[in-house]
Amino acid sequence: MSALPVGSLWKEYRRYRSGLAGLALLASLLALSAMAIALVPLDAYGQWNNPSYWSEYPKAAPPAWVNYITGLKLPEHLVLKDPIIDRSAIGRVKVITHTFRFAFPYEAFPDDFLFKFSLKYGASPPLVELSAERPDGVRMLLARSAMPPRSEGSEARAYDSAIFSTDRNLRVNLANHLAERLGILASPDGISPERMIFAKGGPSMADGGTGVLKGDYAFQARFFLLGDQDDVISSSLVIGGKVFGLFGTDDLRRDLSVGILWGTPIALSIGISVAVLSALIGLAYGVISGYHGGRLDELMMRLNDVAYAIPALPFLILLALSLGRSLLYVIAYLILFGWVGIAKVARSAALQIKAAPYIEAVELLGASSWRVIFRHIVPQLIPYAIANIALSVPAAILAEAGLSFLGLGDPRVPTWGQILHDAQLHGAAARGLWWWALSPGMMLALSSLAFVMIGYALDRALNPRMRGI
Amino acid sequence: MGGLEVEGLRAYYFPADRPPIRAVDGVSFELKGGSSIGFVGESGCGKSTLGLALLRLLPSPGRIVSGAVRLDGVDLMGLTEGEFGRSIRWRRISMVFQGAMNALSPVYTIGHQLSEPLIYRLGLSKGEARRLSIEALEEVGLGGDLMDRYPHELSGGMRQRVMIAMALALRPEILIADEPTTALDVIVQAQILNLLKDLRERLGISIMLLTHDLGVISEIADAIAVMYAGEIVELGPSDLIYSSPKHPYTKGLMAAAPRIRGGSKIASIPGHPPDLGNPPKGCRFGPRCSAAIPACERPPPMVELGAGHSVRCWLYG
Amino acid sequence: MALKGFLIQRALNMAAILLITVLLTMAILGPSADAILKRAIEQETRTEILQNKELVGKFKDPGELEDYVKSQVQGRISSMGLNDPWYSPKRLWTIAIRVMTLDFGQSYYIRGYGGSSNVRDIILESLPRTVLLFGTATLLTAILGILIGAAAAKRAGSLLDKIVMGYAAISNSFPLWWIGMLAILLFSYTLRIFPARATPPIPPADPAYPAALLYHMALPLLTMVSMGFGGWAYMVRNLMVGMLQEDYIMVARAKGVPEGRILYGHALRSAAPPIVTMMALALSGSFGGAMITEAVFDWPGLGRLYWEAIGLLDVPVIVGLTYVSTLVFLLSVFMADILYGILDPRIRIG
Repeated sequence: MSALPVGSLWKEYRRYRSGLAGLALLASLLALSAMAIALVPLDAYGQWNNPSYWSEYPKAAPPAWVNYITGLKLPEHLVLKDPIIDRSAIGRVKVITHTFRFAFPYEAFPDDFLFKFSLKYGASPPLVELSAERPDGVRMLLARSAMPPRSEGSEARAYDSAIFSTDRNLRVNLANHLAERLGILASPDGISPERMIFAKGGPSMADGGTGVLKGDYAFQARFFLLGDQDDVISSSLVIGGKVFGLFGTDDLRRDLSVGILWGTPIALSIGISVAVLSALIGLAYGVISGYHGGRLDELMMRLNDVAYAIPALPFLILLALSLGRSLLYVIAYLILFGWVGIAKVARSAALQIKAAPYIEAVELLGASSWRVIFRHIVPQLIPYAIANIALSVPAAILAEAGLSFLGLGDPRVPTWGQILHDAQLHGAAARGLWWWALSPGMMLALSSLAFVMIGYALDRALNPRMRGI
Repeated sequence: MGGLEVEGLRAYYFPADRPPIRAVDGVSFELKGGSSIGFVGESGCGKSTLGLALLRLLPSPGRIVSGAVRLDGVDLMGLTEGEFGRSIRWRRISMVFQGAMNALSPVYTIGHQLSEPLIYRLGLSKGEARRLSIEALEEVGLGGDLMDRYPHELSGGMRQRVMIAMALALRPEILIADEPTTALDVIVQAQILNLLKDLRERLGISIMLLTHDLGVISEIADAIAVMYAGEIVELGPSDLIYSSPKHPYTKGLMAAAPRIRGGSKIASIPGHPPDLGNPPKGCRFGPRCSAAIPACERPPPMVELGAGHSVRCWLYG
Repeated sequence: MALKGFLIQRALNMAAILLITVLLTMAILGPSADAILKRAIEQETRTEILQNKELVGKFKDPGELEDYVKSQVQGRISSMGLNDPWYSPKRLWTIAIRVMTLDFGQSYYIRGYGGSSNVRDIILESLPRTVLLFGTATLLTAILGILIGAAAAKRAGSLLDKIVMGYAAISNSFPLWWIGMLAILLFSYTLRIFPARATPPIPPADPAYPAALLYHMALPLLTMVSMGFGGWAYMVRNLMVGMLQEDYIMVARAKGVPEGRILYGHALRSAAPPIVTMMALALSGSFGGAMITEAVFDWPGLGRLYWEAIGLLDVPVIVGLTYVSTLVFLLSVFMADILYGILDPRIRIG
């Protein structure tokens, strides 16, 4: 135990490069947290366990940057939400055109595509026509369908619908296109729309056998509206790719970047709150026990021994199973096992300081117990408490991750551990879905590494024997 | 008779981000065979470093910078570490370290620790080493029954005796004793000093005593070297130093330490020893000296006063 | 004599802590366990009665049948002693005594390889495998860590030392189970050297089983050792840097004790008591962590059993395993205390 005041502790600490690196790492994690809170919509995070929210996203797609590493040009998953809108009229009929233009420079076909739209119409049902224009100028009609008639009333009301690349309607249209333009007779069942639209021309383009035609594509939707009140509210086009975003997606189509970025502030707040509260409780417990002494000390230390002897993980699991697994509960459970170690050290330090002659002098001068504790004992324990906090943050983060990994995390607050749980559940490692297992674990490792480096440096700065070595 | 000659020895510590600490800075003295010399000075004056340097045991980042050490006329500085370890350290020069509790390993028996130099230096068998160890214990007034005990089972005085027995195991010519009586009570101090005197007479070894306690020195030393801030400031036969100390620092020490056996302490010289990383340019004692003159701004020479008495002070130059 | 007193005191302490653990387990699980148990009894009884056509035929009125079922259920509940709430002293006491004598009763769903539903049998089936994997891993980790830590301590401040310290910081912050996932990804999926599941695909009775088990053990063992020795080396290094500054090390050097013996004899010998304590705690700690590690590697030990039991909420198995892991933990602490006493002569007198 050393009685370094905080100021000179920092002077000593500054000499450890790894400690400064740890602080830098922590600063960047804090910056990442701020970024996550500011940029990633909380709504997306809140919908993490709602599968329908993620239906527009690709399934188990690796991150987009793998293209740069592998040199393969795998199609990126595109979600287009801002069509070019054109309005015209043919007689009484309003024609609204939504055109989506995008470049397709990739060497593999998209997985699928999906056109979603939202209309408002009254008595007479409108007509929707979807077509694709390829880089070679060929235009293919994909779908033409009428909206269902309103069963009652003529009031204009909203209606949502979608055209999927798997609709049989599409295959029939494309088979007609082949027959009319190229004279090729093909069964609609042999046509794969997401391939044929993006394939080079030729006899075997129906299943994409001719390879990918790279260039600029345009998907155009024409809405024919009959009523005055009728209108198109919105539309979007999803071209299902093989790679997506910075972190990829999982088997349940979730954008991993949402969970991973939001995981940062969550993990940091779990780790820091558990470490700080445990340290405070342990400090108070130890100081009271050591300073008070006598039977109370005996009793408190016996209790401490029992708490120390109980294996943490099984009991954490029992608690989570039985009392509930909301995040606040989990934090409380972790504190329940976190205060024990520091209490013991704080007690022996309190005993030692209490025995020092100057404390006796202070007491003889009439200082109250509280004054002695807060003016003389606690300040000497603060550097130790700081080091203890730094080293128990990673322990808390990893313990929560472990619980979540076992499937005992708070389902409303997804964490890195829970993402890894899902990855394990879906056999990500054995199936080679490396991005699913790698990035959340890497974030866990980096966060705990930051605190471990800070803790080690503090440890050495506080321990004169290790100093300078 | 030969003996130990040390000339201009400098041993510095080189910490990573500070100027070198000049713990021993140009020390010269001679220790004739069978005689004894006492080094006296406050803690931190460099006397322990001197002892460790002579045994080449300076802990990192310490290093001998320059100087000559001759034993019976043979230059020891020219020996490699291996040669020095095999033929000099513990065999011809050995040491009783400060604080016998820490100098004995808590996890080995006394017998084991006593046998080690006999086994590793002389290549004796375990049985022979054990027999000689028991003899060594008896020589320092202890019984062979201690062989299987652990250090924590012994009193402070007994541990110091064990340490001395261990240092004498290989029959060295020179024994360096670093504060051999510190932390012992007065009666035990006297016993240990008597033991050292007795051993010197019986075995004819030279003793180099390092202490802060003038009372201890007066018991044993033929000659006294007063050390201050890494330098010898006064050197001479003990009776001369006692009867007519010359250096202001020596005078201060004498005044502070009335000649009562044992229980005296150095005190009451105002000020603190200088930082050896950045010592004063001139006389190192200058800033604390009550007799300082303008000349003290320059480093004083060692002045010969005759009869082997010399002093590093401008008052005599 | 002193040692005997010490042992008795320790043993009493241990028994007290075990009792507290059992009571705590029951307090935590009690309410939900009771509800589950009662529901299971009701279901079982109902199915039994409804399958007995003859018996059902006797009842004209479905209401009467329902009453009969209810009375039967009630009878069974009271015969099992479930009428009292879980916190009734009588029930707590009987269960505590039974658990402490390793009588964990019958499992709800989990069965042993031989089809046994006796919880003790099921646990005893898995125990050797956990001991095999985690015992081997801890031993290898400790040996590697001690050797490397001692080497680093000797060259404190050198490049080797810095590398060891850096590796310790990094490997300490990586969750073992995550590295396990990556190891499976690398060695099983990409390189195809080791199987992804550590459970051998053949039954334990097969003569080839031990060999298959060892082969399946390689990947978890490799992962655990490579992730574990860094932390060990760090602790051993710090302990020994302290030890090497002691005067008696300098004395040993001066006496001519060879460097190797100073390092592995004197210094390590002095550091042995705390190291042994660490080892005992690490061993029991790794049993705690076994749950997650075994789940990742699918190693058929106690941890995976725990994992299954939690999934199925098989309360007797959970209680039994919690008790066994506490027992293992306390036994290791106990052994560490005794070893400490043997290794450190200062404690031996007691």
